[in-house]
Amino acid sequence: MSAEGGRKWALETFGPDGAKVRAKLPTVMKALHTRMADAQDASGMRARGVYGNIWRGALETLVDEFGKLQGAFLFTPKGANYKVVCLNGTLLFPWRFSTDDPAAISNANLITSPARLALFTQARPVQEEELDLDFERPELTDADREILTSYGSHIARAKSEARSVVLIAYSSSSTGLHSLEWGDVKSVDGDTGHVEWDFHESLLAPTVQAAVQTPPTKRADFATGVIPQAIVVPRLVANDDE
Amino acid sequence: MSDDDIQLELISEPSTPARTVAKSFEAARLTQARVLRGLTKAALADLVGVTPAAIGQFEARITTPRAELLTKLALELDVPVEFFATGRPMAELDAAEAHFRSLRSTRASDRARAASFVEQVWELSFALEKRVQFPEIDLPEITPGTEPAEAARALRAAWGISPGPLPHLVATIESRGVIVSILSLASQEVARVDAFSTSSLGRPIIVVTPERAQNVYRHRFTCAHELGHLLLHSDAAPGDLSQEREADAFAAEFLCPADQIGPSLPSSMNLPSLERLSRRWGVSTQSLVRRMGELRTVSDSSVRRAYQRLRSVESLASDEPVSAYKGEMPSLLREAYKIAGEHGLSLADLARDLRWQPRRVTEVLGMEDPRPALKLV
Repeated sequence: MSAEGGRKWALETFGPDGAKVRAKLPTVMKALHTRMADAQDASGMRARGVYGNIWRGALETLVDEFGKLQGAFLFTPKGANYKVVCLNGTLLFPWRFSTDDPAAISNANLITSPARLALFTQARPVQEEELDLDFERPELTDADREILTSYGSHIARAKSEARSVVLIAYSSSSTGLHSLEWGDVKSVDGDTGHVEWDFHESLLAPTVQAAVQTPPTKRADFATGVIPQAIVVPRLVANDDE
Repeated sequence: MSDDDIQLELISEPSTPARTVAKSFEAARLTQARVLRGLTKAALADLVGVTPAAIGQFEARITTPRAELLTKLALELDVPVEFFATGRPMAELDAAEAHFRSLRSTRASDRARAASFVEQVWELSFALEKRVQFPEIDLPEITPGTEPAEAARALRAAWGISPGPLPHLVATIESRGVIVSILSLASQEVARVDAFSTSSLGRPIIVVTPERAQNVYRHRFTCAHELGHLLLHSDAAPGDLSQEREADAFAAEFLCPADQIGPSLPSSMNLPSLERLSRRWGVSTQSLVRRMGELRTVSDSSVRRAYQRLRSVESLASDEPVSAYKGEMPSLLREAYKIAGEHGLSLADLARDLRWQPRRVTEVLGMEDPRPALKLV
């Protein structure tokens, strides 16, 4: 998925706030990870439980960062003791799918507690999408406004009725934030928790993709290649016979 | 006997008698030899049976040692008697004219000893340059006030270094006419010097201690740091700590340009990834962590934690010795000696020219294997 595609999807999903949410999410999650890793270090505990509370930190952080946006309200899934941000009719739910393996996303299962199932099944109030695009939003380009205008005002209601959920899937431990992806969920298997994505993209991908600037076959290291030779030549000695 | 007669006698007589040397005694040579041996005036006086004041007077050119005493001094200082005679080019380097890597933790006496070593490196190179032509010095002019990172980019461009890891750093530096030497004074005291450089003797010289050379990554960063001094601070009086920071910034950009290493750095403190990058770019993992902090790819607290983790596993990490990397071992002086040898110069000739013990010549040439010898008991 291209960066333009991800931005377009964010605008279509979250309305005028989509671009801002997409831009801020990596920063917000990196900062959360750092705070939790610091807390783990400061605790002096070998058990990783301090960092393990990042799941709750993520929920609170999303509420703090995005809960007061124009098209947002807070939603409590039945049986949960936390609140989830609902933005433009779509729930925004953080999911730590692995502690160490970014690739595990392909076969990770969402543990389906009753509260989590309620994310996908429980009816949620409808908040009309904000379509006053004259409201000052310097982050939006003309192309963004075109997308928002053409996508119509009914989208918030449709998303709400479809029980739309966007998962923010991340792999992390106190040693690092290994991956950060997000996307909307097409379905979740109630028995296995297998997630079928409709759309998803990596929010750390631009950095990782840019990592390789030379083709792998031509990757040189500091000890390869021809060693430069210091050119030392004998001085000419004057010949007495000449 | 005139001065000319003494010169002729020195050249024609390999074992010039001490009485002749006494007549042309060069006080600075006594200081150089004493400092190189790491002896105070009092300690040397004790060894040869005179008062410390007498040694002071010899070095201050107030009096001249007698022939018998010169023989004793030569024995204790492990030099031929002829070493103390005048009649050959001499470098005099004030320790205050050299950039020392660990300025604050280095004692003045250690700095003086290291400076005396550089004097001998220069004298050896001068003796060789009479027979062979060294590469021309190729260091671009850097306008005073230039940012270290900008100077590093300018040097990469001037030397035509391709984007990516900088291969064979020491060989590259030497091919541009700068002498690099691994200090052969392998004592604990001089180890504190770490490294130093000077351009005040005409040809720029970089000296690294064997301790720094135990790890190729530290060695490379150290050499790049000293190169930074030669470019940025050739006219400035050494000693300012801000110069050390500038040399560090130069080395970081020279070895890992921000626009090239930046995209390669992981988005989190993933140590296995950093170790892979370290092996590719030839810099330590600690340097990469620092680079991540400088380039703001991670938070300061992440950098602090990474340092803590690296310290905790430091004892488990194995060093990559410089000797395993041909492009990082100094070779300019040895190459010059080899070429001169092919045209008739022997070790004995060179030792006689310099008035050194032949063993000392091989030490300064870097031909002695610094590795400890296996002894069967």
